[in-house]
Amino acid sequence: MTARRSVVEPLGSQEFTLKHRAVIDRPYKKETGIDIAPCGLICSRMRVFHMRETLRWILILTIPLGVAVQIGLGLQRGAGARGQRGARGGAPGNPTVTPSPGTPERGRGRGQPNNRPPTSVNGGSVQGVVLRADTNETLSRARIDLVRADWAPPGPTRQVGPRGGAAPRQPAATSPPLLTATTDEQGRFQFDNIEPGRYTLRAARNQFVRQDYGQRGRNELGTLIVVERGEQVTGIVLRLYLAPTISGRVTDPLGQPMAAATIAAYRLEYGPSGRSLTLAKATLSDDRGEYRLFWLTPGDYYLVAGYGAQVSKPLAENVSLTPNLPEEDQAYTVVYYPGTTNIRDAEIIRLSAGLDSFRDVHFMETQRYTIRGRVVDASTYRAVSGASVFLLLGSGHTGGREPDPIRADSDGRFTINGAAAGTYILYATAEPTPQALGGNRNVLGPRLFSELHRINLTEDLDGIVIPMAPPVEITGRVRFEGILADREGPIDGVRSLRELDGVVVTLTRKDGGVGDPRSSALSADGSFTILEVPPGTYTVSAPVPLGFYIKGIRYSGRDALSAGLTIRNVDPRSGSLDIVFGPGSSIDGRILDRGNAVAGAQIVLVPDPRWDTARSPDRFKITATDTTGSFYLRGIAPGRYLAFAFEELENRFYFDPEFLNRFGVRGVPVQLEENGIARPDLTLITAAETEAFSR
Amino acid sequence: MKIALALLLLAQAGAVTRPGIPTGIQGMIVATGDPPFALPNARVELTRVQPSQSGPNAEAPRVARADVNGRFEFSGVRPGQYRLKVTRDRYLRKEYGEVALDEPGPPITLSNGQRLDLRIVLDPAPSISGRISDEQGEGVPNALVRAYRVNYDTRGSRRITPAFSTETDDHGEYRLYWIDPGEYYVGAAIVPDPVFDNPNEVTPPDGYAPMYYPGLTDPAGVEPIRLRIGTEAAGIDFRLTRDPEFRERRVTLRGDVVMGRTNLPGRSRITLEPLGDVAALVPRDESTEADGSFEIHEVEPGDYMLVAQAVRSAGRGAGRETGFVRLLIRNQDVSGIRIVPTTGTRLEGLLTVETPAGASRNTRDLSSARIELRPVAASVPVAVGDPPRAEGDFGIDRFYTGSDYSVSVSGLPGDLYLKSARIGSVDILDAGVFHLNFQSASDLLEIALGADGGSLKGSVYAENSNRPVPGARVVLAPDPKRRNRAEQYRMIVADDVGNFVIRGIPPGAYSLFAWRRMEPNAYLNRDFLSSYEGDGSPILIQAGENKPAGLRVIPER
Repeated sequence: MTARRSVVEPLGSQEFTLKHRAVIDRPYKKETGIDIAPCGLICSRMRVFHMRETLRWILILTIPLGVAVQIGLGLQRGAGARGQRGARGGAPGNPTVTPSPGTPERGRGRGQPNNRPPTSVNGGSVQGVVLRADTNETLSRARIDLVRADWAPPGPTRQVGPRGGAAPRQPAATSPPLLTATTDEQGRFQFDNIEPGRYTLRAARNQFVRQDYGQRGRNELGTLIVVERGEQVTGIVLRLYLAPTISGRVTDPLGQPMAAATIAAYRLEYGPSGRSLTLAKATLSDDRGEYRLFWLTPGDYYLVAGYGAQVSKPLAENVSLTPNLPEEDQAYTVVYYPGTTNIRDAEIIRLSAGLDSFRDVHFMETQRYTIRGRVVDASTYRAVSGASVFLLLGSGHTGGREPDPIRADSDGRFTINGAAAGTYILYATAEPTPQALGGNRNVLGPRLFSELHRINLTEDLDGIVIPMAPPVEITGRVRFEGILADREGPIDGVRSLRELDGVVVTLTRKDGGVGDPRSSALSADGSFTILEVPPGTYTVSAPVPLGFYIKGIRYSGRDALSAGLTIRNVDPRSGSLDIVFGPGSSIDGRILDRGNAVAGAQIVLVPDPRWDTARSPDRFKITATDTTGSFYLRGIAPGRYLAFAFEELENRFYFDPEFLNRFGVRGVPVQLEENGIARPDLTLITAAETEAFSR
Repeated sequence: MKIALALLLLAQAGAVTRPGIPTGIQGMIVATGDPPFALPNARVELTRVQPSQSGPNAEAPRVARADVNGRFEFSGVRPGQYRLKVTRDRYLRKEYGEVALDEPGPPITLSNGQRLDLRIVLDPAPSISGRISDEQGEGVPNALVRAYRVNYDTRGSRRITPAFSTETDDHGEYRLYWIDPGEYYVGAAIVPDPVFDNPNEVTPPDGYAPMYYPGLTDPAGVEPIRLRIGTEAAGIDFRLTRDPEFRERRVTLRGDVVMGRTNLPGRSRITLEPLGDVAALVPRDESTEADGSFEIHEVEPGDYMLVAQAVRSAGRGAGRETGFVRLLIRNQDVSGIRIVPTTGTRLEGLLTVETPAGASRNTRDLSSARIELRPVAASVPVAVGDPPRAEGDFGIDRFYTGSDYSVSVSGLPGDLYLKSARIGSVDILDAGVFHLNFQSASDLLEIALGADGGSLKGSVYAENSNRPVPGARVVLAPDPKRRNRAEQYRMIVADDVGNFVIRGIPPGAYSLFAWRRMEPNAYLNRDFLSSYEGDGSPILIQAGENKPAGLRVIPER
């Protein structure tokens, strides 16, 4: 097989000649005084992942599909490659590269970069064009991002971060430098004076699916563009496909148009826990009952509709709706398209590029129930007067927002009326009240929190008791075990700890509860304190220095790495969190096909199912080969893995056990020790082979 | 009067009182029309009026839905007083017996063995729709479109405040549906979506300033969109254009909050309130960091009051501390702003009644009088006076030097009226607003009430017939020379048969007006009133005079 996409791209009278560059494989050299961290895209992606986790509420629930479904409201800012199903554009055919003797004197009128942190006087340039995939017309006003992929965060510089209660200051930079340009009337863009390095190139434009250069499948990584010193990388073509839309009309049980109903599209994806649903977009219907969920990414979706303040809260907070809307005593059960309350009977809507899919949703009458109970102090069993009791939809369709509370009376009693059948999470919080301590009633007591109580509402419930307790204060420390044998020399924990000064350890709920993540900045000695942590189960997110991996997380002596950190109301009101980093291992290699470099191949490292059944998310690694066909992954936890090289990878099927059953034999077993390195000899699994599975 | 009203309501309601009939309330919901027609599926909420019970132990409202014939029924209702509210898609909310939207009338009284049959007429709600595009004519997705309501503050200053908002779809189209009648400006802005981040949506480059229909950066001087009942204002389209200076114009404010009580940094809520007669800028609410510091970004130049309200601390006066700074922001960042919240000071006052024979100590019970100092900035708390004692002395807590106030006296018995108010030699009624830069121990708010006020009793009739106009807004405005004296205006809502009584009128010349609908406080705005000058009836009120009056409602424009 030859390297693909050695084609001439027609563009009117202009031709973009593509030539194969003479590749000198020296991705780890040091030149021009700039460290080129041989990291690959995965490093920056993992960092972004940590950052994203701090902004994300994730609800894990089990619904009657028989699978654990993870529903997340992701604030996915600038992270994650999201390609499209069947997209063949943005071909990673090798771009033209010509040596540049000096400072390029190019017009900046075309696609002028908006900022230029990684520019260099003797830098190279990247230029190309954006086309409509369906018509080959040029696309003006597309936004082009050039992101440094081999980027390492700076040292211990702090900056004034955003406000936000106990949230600590953010480190100086948590994302790689970014250059931005906009295509001109001829669809052209150009970046000048850029530093040598490896870059991700991304195009986005309203109405079209965002696309990384070289990206083919959904969730697939694009091809990194390698820019050598003074080089001109030209002839890049990015083809954008029209983004699909779901639109339709919502009607009430009488068939009348329904205003202010919430309609959400959940994308079906694969994750370590199996199939998962990710909230892609949600909107409110208008007075005609009409809605538009526009510019989605091609893929498989569930369409979910709800009605009432709780489900519409995240959307309604952005807008001020009319006061003439009737109140929501019609607590409709959440409905899945085409009109079922059971996700097992829901229809998957398969969206391909450019499709405008019309789907009407019809609400049904439903039985409503009452929940009565009492809120008490867990230690004294006295009533907690005026506590706020929350009933959260267990389906997660509140978008991670806290619903309006019901107030308990002076005896701690509460009544929730009109709840539709379904699964819910019931919990309570109470604000501090004055304590009669030493006769001083001006001293406030602590806030109180209950644990989360899952209920499946099929009848009226009475006599529920919700115990409450003060939150927990967690003190912790980050430490290093071992020295990383890096290519640039050994890296010990002291140096790495310095780099982590000021960055953040975050606890994010993973039990369906809502609320801001709890976090704390690391001190120079690696210690931290997280205040007011309510009971619950949390994912611990810690910034992992390049090349290291999280070796262990223990909370008060218990393992908190594999299953998360769990705090119960019976636990002591303080605890210790120990986070240990170890020197990771790495793999590198190059994918060749009949002697030619394969750019954009998807390199996947999966825990070997014969040895590792925990399927911990941080054990799955993915990267893509760059334009030289090279790949490099570091910071891998020791263990046994299977390594794959896919020509194309639709969705993240490698999380699917069935996929592994079929392709496991094509994986190359890799055993990694701390500080170890492996160079597996990978054979490309063709697009034709994996495409069969996606069908 | 109350008895007459209750009887009238019963007559309208079709009350039946007969032994053996279960007590209840039923009725029919109809839509405005010629003829009116029944409305099915309206939501009817019946709430028992329980002045003694509030909070968690209050009786929950009962809810019914109108059937296909528009009929609803509440059976087994205990005798008592009730309010009945109706909402339905596409119609304006209505409370039975209301004099105007959101202005309730007397409650419904249900006697033992009585069954009321009510008829409630709903009016269709207006809507605004249109499209927002960019310079290229492409629809702008996710633009925040706001309907700004034209209203007036307690001094009659015209305000433009956001009332309703929505977002555009992928075609740039929007619908602000079922909103209240009134005058509106429509504005659009590109605001990053804090909830969802669709990777396929590109946030437009910075530099798009908020725009107002029909395509202006400032709504001042443009005729607002007048929405009446049932108006469908379609085609309210306009373009957002880039303003290269927009980003440069916006500035950052930095400072800190130090509690006056402890001299320590304090966590506070911060409100940046735009001042001025035409303020389409939206108040900004922020919070300080735990160390009391704050930063407010992207602030447009203008005249502002920056107000800090302390939150959640222990001790006497905790949570009641307020501090403020007035800022005239130009095109530069402002740093080093310090706000010191305090509980304010106490201003002593004396209330007297003037008789024609001269000033005297009060001999009448003035304990019901409510004396308020209303700040010009809405974020500064209103200072409410203690009930005056028998000698007429009173005190007002939470008074802040440096804040502009106007004085208001209400709840006066009989025909008394506010005649003068002064601090030292300064007549604070004549100036309209006052403020003290420093407060000395001798500062005394002296309020004199007149006892020789006249009264006016009359009826309001339709434009071209002798049909009474229930709920008409009757305004008695002083002659143009005294228009600066806010305390000499009177506004009253005509009752259910169009009658009204105004008491405690300072002697002098006036004009009398009546409108079917009017924005609250609009009559205090000079421009508003002068545009209706020819529609007013001149009237002279002598000292102690009881004058009859009949007038026609001003036709709607």
